[in-house]
Amino acid sequence: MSLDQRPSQPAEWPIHPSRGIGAPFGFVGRFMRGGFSGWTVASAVIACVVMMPLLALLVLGLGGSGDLWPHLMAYVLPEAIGTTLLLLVGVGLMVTTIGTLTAWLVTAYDFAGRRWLEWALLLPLAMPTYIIAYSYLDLLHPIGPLQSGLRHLLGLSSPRDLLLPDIRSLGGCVLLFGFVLYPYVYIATRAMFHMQVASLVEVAHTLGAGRLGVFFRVALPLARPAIAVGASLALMEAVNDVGASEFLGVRTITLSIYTTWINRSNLGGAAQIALLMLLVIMVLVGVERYARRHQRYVGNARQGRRLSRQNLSPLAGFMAFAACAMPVVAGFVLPVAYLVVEAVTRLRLFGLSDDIISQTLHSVGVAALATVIALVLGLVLTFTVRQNSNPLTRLLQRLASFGYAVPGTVLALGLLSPLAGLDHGLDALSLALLGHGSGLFLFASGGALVTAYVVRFLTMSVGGLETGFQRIPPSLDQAGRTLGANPLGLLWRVHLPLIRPAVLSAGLLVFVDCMKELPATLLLRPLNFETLATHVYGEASRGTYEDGSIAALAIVLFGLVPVMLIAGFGKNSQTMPQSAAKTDRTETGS
Amino acid sequence: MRASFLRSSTADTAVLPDEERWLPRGRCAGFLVIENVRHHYGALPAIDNVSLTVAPGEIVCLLGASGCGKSTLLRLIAGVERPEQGRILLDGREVCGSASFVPPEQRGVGLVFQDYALFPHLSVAENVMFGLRHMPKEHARALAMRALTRVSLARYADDYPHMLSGGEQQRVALARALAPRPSVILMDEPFSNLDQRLRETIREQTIALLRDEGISAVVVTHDPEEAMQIADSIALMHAGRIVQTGTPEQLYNHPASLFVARFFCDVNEVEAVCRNGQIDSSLGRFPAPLAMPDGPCVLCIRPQAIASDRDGVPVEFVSRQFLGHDDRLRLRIPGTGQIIHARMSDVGPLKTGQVLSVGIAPESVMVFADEAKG
Amino acid sequence: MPFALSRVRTVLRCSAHGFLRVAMFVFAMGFMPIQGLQAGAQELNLYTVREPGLIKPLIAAFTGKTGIKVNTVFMNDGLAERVEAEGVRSPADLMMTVDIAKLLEIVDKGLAQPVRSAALEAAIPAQLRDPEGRWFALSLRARLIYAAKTRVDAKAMTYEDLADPKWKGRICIRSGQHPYNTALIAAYIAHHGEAAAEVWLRGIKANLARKATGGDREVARDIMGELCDVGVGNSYYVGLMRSGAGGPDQEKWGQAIRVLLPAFSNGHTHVNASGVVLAKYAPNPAQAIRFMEFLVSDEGQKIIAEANFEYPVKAGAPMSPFIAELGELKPDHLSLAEIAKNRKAASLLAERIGFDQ
Repeated sequence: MSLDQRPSQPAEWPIHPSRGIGAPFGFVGRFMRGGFSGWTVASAVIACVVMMPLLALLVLGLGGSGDLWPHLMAYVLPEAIGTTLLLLVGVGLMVTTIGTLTAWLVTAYDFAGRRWLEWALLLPLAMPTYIIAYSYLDLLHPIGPLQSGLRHLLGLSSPRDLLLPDIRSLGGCVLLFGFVLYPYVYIATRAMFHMQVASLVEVAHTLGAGRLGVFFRVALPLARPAIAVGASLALMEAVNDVGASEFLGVRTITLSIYTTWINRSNLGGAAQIALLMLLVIMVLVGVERYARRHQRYVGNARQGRRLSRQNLSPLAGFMAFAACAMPVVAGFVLPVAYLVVEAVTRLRLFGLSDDIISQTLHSVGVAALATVIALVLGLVLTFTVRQNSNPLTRLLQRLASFGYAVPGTVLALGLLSPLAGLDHGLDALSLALLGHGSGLFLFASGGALVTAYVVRFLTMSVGGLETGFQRIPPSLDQAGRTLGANPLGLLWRVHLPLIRPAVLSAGLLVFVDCMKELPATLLLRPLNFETLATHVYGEASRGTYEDGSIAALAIVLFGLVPVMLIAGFGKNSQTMPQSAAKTDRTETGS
Repeated sequence: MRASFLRSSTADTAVLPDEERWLPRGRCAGFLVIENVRHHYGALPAIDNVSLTVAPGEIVCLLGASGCGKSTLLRLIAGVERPEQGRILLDGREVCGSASFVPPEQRGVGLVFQDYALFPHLSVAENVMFGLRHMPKEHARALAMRALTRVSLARYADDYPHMLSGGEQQRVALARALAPRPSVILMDEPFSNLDQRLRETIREQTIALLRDEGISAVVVTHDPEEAMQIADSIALMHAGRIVQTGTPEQLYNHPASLFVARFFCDVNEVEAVCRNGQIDSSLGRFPAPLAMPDGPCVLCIRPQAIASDRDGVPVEFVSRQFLGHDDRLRLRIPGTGQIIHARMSDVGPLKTGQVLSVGIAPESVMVFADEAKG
Repeated sequence: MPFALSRVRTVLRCSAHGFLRVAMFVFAMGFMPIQGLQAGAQELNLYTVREPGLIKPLIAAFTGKTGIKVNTVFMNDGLAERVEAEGVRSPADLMMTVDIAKLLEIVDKGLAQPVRSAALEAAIPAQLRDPEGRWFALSLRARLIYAAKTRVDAKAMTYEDLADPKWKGRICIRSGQHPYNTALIAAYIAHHGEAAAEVWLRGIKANLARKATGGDREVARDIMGELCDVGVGNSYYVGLMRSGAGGPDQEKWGQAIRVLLPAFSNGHTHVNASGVVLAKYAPNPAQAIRFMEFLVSDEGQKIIAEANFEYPVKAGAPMSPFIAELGELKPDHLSLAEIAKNRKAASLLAERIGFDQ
């Protein structure tokens, strides 16, 4: 009977316009919906530039690899794949556990020291993996302070009487990476938890879920996209690391790329391994995205109350404090304390080198420039998708993010020939037009270096801005357009003010990573251009690592400032969407 | 906050002298024509060959269930989405056609959203001034203040949207949309986020304001009562098409199809047969409308149309529901066993199974050919 | 609330301005180094794998003496690839490496140009330079055996001895894929053939006390920490540690080891060389050759010996007392080129037997 069929549901936008689901509507039609705009063209250009090194690697890989693969298959890959997988699983578990748990504790509960920990938990971000590996070996070595002290306490004379596990092992590597890489997950999940509506948690409690239940059954599933984003950054960093893992004796597949290239001069083979790894990473990322294709957390202009923090009993509060303080101590306080001691010793013995100032300026300078460029390009890519989200623009955005998925050295190597090609072209052009050549302008100006940073870290900029955009309800765009703002005006007057916290935290992430970056810096910088990272590396490879402790400390300090800024802006980003969403509950019927 | 608004609202709805208007008169209200517009999302036709005209000063309601395409049509008019086919003309200018496409910022339409879409980083006044960029700032501010005064929110000019209640946010959104003097204003479920009591008041005020200013408006709603209250003309949509356009009375009293009849009111549907200008049903015989072909058909009878009638057909009483000023009765037609609903007052105590005699006025019976059923 | 928000906005706006200013400064700074690259000026450009700390005293002395400015960039992997990509416009005049195989790779890629210099030829023994003058060794480092002073009695050892089962669980060494070890294995292959080398390397692998990883200094440190008793390390690390140049901790590590000057069974010690080539497209060849000649002059060799604790190539040049006390070095007769030829086989061998696992 028809009586039950009357319409009662309030109407909504049926589907996000640009994300229409359903059967394909003709390949070209789907690809081109909305036509080509200048923004799409700009995105395409950016994606092409970023893909240059990949093409160069393809060319190298096509050059052939001789008899590499049978050898790899027989002797290297079985072990290396196992090691790599264990490393990934271990680091993945660690960063996810530490990152989400601490993020949840500081968001959902109030306890003594929480305010302090909320930003201190970001600190390990400033710690390069190679520095933490060196520091911990010094600290934990049988003749280091920890074991010596223990032996002294226990009255033992020989290190052999007290055999502790060596940090130079897969387990040690997992621990160290976990303690410095978890902030990627922490940042992402904390932002996600802040967005959650209080009623979800309250509903879970009334349905009988305890504190742990709420965390595991509500908070964790909701934070899954954020965990995926953060953990994939951490894992890519872990798997592409060469310095620390080699030092700790962990032979990943990345190291076999290295050996193939460096020791056997088989560049083609190295490129092939790198491309294969890239493919695997891309497939994994794709599978993950596909698995949560239906989960979408789009901000609404009107949302419910935000989570308010619960007070904890003194004992529970102390446990929460300890749980949050542990990673900070392990990932930051201990190694920094070590660096400070070493730096003080060096200062007393050898004084402060004048070069440290120019090195700092160089580091900060190129990092800042690369950050600005990465932000602008990231904004173009994400805003293009915002304007006109179709498979093409989304693909361009994804393509432009590949630089983080290959090891830094490989990326730098891939950039060599495209950049040099550009430089040769520039020189010829300048010779023809101006009468004198420009030389290798990009290499000589640091342009090559900045390009490498941008290509490598663009994904952080894109990811951060994407999250920012997702929090803005589409109705604001439409309101802005009908009120007379053109796309650029909309970006300037509506989007930028609203995503400013996201812009800043994305920029700071890029900046910190540029400061820490080593392999591309080594290979692509101009003459007489030392940075803090190259200085530390120079000292380390000469075997006088401790001489680099001042520079290492400088990296950490300059990385620290942005981290503190992220923390500060993180607070603003909490109030921003909240202010957009707070409503008077007595009046909202729905 | 709400109390004070309610108090001041009666004064606001009164027609104000000309100098109090913030929109100087002189510009004609907009004239909107939509011709054969089509649009898809993926493979789903969202808008299927829709044509519609909004006369100057007219308030047209796009009525329909969730997902029927009414919001999409609004977006096409606003220009935030581009149709695949068809033309849209605003004040005689083609804003969208096979070769032309005027971007939303150059169309001069106002848009009010269900969630109001106020910019959270701008104050109330700055929100209203957003669309007033082409003039000196002081002038824009003055216009914005007049707009806010008109919706009696001037005192909140420097507050931020989140500090206002839902109803106040709705009025800011209205003031913001009206401030640039759009030729037509488009509203998407503008009242659905308000609670029942507040909705009535805000709706009355908003419509009074639109009428007072003589602004053309397209209002999207899913609520037929709301549409009937505010619209000069209603376009009922279903599955991307407009199924009927007309005044509220036309749609209510002369629905073009069973779907339209069902949409406006709960109806009893009784199967019947039409033969030789007569319709025979289990509820009696009625004259057939002109041009009704012979064959099976459906009778549509509103519960209010059923009354006690000693000369009527016998039905069995099943149960009743008290609704205040009348009762809703469930009655069983003895022959077919079909349950029908009736709204009646002044029926005395009834026992289950008791037989009543009811009659139906022939003019309130709507007849549709059987294929319309479904 | 509006007050607080607007204040936040002001702060943000100010910081945005500051950011712009920094960015402009950076731009200006980024383009400054260009000035240094004009050809013809009294300067030269050096691409080096040798660490800046070791190069600096040499450059200071050279510039003080000649007035020629030396611009450097220190890099590691990819030096040859960069110069190759830069091609004819490469600003590089000289390329220095710390591993002979890398040096030969540069030559093989055709990135070097031959140099005829009486000074170079007089100073460097014939087996330590290319007959065609495309590469020159500047200094030597020997691959030594570090033994625990208190726990090992042996006064002399051969490389072959490292595979002796009596060292089971007592040997420390860095990765088998490190160029220094690859060169040692390559030399072993050259002496004994690949099959014998495999047996030997498997023997060492079976004797390892810990994973083959870390650096040569870690060998000394691990010996002091009693993780192992015998290890393999380069000669100059001994000087670096014992001189105190690496700090007081390292001095202790250096004291904990006894250094044996090992030999192959033929009685000669495996050496590797640091060397230099003149770039094919060097914009300042004259200045570059002057620097090369300075590097093998008495003064240059003395600085290399003192600052780097390496063996000078020039006969009769003084060495650091920390190195001299290790005993007389009898370098292997094998030509460096021969060793480099076996490098790929050595690397594959180490991978095949899972030396690093």
